Parts: sequence; C-alpha cells; structure tokens
Amino acid sequence: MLLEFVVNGEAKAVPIEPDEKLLTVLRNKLGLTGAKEGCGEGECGACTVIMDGQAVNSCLVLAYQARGKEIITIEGVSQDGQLDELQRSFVHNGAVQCGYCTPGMIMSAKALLLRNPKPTDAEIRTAISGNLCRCTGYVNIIRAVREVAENLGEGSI
Amino acid sequence: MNCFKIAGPRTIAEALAFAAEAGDNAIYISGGTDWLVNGAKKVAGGLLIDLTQVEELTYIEERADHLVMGAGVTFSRIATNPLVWEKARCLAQAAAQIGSTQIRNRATIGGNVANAAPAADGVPPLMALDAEVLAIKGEIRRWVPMGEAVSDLCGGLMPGTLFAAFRVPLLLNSVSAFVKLGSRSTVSVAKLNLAARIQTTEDGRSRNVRLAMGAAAANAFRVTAVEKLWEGRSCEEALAEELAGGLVTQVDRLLAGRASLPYKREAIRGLAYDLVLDIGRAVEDGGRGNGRKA
Repeated sequence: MLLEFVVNGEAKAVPIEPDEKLLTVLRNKLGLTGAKEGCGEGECGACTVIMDGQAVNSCLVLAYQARGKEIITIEGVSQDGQLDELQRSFVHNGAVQCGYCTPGMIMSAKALLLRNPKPTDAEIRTAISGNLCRCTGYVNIIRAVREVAENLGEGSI
Repeated sequence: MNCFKIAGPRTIAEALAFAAEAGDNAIYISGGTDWLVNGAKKVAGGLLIDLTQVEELTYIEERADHLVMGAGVTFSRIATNPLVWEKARCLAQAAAQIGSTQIRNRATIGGNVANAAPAADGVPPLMALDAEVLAIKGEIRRWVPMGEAVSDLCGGLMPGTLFAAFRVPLLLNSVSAFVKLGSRSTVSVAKLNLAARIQTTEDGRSRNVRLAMGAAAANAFRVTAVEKLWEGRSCEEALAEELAGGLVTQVDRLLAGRASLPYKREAIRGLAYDLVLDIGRAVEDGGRGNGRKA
C-alpha cells in the first residue's frame, strides 16, 4: 500500500507494509536518520517526531496511522541552512553531549513551544519527561529550552 | 512482526463492516501504544482495524446526567479537558500520570481499557465513577458496567467488540481522586493504583463510596469491604489509617507468597493516606458535580 503524508513540508507517497512503523519508514525509506530507535517501546523518546503538532514516539506509531498527517522531524526544524533557535540554544548551553537523545529532546521541546511559547520549568520538565538523557543530567537541557522561551515573542516559533 | 492486513475506517459503521467481513480474525486498535510493544503477534494472518481516524470516537460532552466521551479520546485531551476535571476528577488525574507526553498524545481511554492490563491507570477511575462502556459487536450495542467489562475482557469474552464510548453518571456533591505508585515519577507502570469517589452529606460525611484498586490482581476491582469502612466518615487521617489497614488485608490476601508482598503492603498504606487526604482537600474546595480541579 501507499502511504501519503507530508514530511517536513513536502508531500510524500511511500510504499509501506501493514506492520511497518513510522520510525522505520522515516529512517529507511526517506533517509531521515535523525530520529533514533533506542528502546523501541516508548520509554526513551529518541524516536520523537511531531505529528500534526504533537510530539509522538515514532516507534509506537504504525506508518499506516500517519496517512494524511503532517510530520516534522529534526531535519525539518532548521530553515535555509540555519539552525533553529532551539538547536542553537542546545549548543550554546552545553545541552548536547553524546547527542543520541538530542533529536528527540529537541522535537519534544519544539512541540511544547509550538503549543505553549511561555512554559514554566515544570511544564518543560513534563514535556521532556518521556526523553531519556544519560549524559547531561537534564539541567542544561532545561536551561536551553527556557532560554528560547524567554527570548520568544508569543507564537513566533 | 507478523503478516496481517490493515484497514482504516473513517466511521464506526465502516469499522463494524470491516470487522463483520473479517469475522474472528479482526482486531481493533486505537493509538496502539501498548499493542505495538507486545500485541502484534495476536493478529497474525488477520485484519487490524485502525480506529485512530474515526472522528466519531473523539468527543467529550455533558449530556443530561452523564459525562460522555468517545473511546478514541487521548489521555492528553482527558488530562487537559476542564469538563473532565470538573466532572470526573480522578480520571483526569490518572490521565495526566499515564506514560509520557508522547504516549498520552496517542494512547486512548478505549485502548487502555480494551488492552486489559492489570495496572491500566484508566480502569480504577472508571470503576470508581460507576462508568459504563458502550460495547458494539455486530448488531448488538449495549452499555456495560466497567466491572463486568473488565472481567469479561480478562476472561477473553469480548473478542471483536468495539468500544465506542464511556459514560459517567453525574452525582451531586461528589468528589473523586486517583493516586498511583510506580518505580519513577513519570513513564511508569503502576505498582499499585487506587481511585475513589464519594458523595458528601451536609455535615461533610461520606456516602455512596466507591473504591477501586489496580495492579494487585489480574484486573482492577472494587474493594467493597473497604468501601464499607469509609461510609459515614469524614476524610481525615483517622479514616486514612483505618482504610490503610483494610487495604493491607486485601493486599495480604491477593499477593500471599509473592515476592512483591512486603513492598506492596507498605506502599498501599501510603496510597491510602494520599487518597483520603486528596479527597478531603477536594471536599474542602467545595467539590460539586463529580469533583473539581485540584
């Protein structure tokens, strides 16, 4: 069957199998390898992408369930070759160490800021509670997200 | 994974037509967050019917004397819906604590019940609220009390049944609460969970008490012996201590010989306190309908 959906602003039609996961289609058929398969069961968040404005674990979404949906992956957040504000803030705040969790972490933070441009620290923590990081201890990640939120005019992300 | 076919109905009628055609080889999924982890083998060679794009399953409404919601409502929506916080507080509290943001964005109340996990956080609140589920199979549509639905699901008695909606009766002067204990604060399967609903009399005493416990047996259940201890009492520490004793007796009976018993018999005491004191605070807040936002 053919999966028709929009990925990072481009309409796509991709042949899929009924049992394929969204994550494997993004990685293996579209070459978007930013989203990672860490645990494969929704515990680690390394596969997080945005589907119709909401953060989802792409390892827990059947590709078929993405029919007609708009997906944003980490590859879609930079514009015109320039890093997104969140990406710059992660770099600037030392929120990236090994980097494995980073694409998922940024997509969770992005989904939060799309919906809530001025989150509290508690809201930031809740938004990334499904993303495991084993390097940074989260402090710099939260600082990076907070810094972007503080610099944002409402709705400008 | 296994080989199966997949269908994506847009209406309940279409979903039922797919199920009728596939007979015993059909299985419904909603968000699929549980199913994708461990359910795929159950549909080998059959038809998977994906309900995620059936809009008829995604409403939350107050209708006459019930709060009614489609079975396809996600936990994110339940956790952020003011009507649910006002009318079914314990369900909103449970929804806010299920999985992670990503999982709550996909997982649905119908899927949580249908998956019939012993620790499902959505089930004790629905039981405590005297909720019913609209179960549809072929031409038969009926509202099934949660207790009956859960025991039938665990006994494998509801194959090919579509859960379309849940309804919660709205009672005057009533409040409810949900508490759980897991191994970490979020993204955690409950080791124990409890939900309760009471109605209060003018002098602040409890009546019409419902108390449901999950993760201590094959499925969640109402703890009627402990409900009786609660009747006529106000929600204070003395009551919490008594309920804790009653719940420990239940845990001792259910988990005799299990390695988890020493931990869970202590844990349930803490949950009893959390539950009673949270309901007490909600009563002081002047809870009406089925509770108010914390």
